[in-house]
Amino acid sequence: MVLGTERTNTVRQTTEFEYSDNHQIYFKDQARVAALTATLLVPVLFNSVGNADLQFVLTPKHQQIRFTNTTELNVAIGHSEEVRSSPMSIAELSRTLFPAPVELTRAQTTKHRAAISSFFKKS
Amino acid sequence: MMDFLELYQKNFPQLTEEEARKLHTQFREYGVHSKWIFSSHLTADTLIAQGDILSGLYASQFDVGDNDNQPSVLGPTEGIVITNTCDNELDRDTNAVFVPLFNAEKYFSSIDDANMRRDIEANVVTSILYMPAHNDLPASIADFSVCTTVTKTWLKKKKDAGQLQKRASLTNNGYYFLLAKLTLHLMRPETTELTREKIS
Repeated sequence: MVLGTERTNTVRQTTEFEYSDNHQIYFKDQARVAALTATLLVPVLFNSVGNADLQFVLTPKHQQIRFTNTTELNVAIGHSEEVRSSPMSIAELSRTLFPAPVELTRAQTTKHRAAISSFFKKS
Repeated sequence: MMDFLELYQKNFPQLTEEEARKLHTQFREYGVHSKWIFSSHLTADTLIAQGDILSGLYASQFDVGDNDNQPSVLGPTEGIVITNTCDNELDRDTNAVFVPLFNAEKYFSSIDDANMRRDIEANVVTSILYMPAHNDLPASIADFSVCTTVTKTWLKKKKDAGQLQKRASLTNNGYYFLLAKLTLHLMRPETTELTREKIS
């Protein structure tokens, strides 16, 4: 059940989240939660559909969200293709671009070395 | 005291999630295509940027043979610059490292292996960079293990003599792609057969 979108005062992007009956917030984007917790974007405003804004703070060390007017709620992690604006390291980019890298077999390496050596000439 | 995350973020290039998403989309849809990897203009004439492709270079390697104290030589040839841009200003007395580019068609006809060719052209082989044709440069491959060092004074002299030309520069996405390939090759996990001493 999608209840609303999340806005921050610096990122200006939206991410769908869900609020279940067991008092857990389900983010669509795991990385987005990590970005928020890492960059300490507090306070964050949640706009519930048809209701007034609920202000809460993130507690990054415990990965919990505390509504200012309610008890602590655990964050459950979901998944989404949602875009976040936090920086991505080159190592993370490498893993994204090449999820299944290949190393040459021994036979292929032999062919490769022979092909490369054919470009060189003895001085 | 700076924590590790802050140190990492200050010292290593990072791109935004939006840039990464666009790059991933381009790579998935087009592969490594000249339309997004090569810039429409060259980098500044006063420096050599990481990823620039130069012609007029010479590469060497030692191998066993009749005279294995003498290297085999390739050149003049094209090569892609591996050295960080900050070290490449031509008036600095430092060295530059590049990887020679080999003609892809000649290479593929030599290996005669369709599966290997498919993987190399898809750029998923960790040690080999495949670069598409661009303007008058043919498609080429680079083997990251075949590096050559030249002094900056050599580069400057050859450039001033018109014997060294900058042929292509990378776009922002092309640059990040090169860094991702280098990372994949140089920073992939070590074999589990290796046991290093752990300092407590």
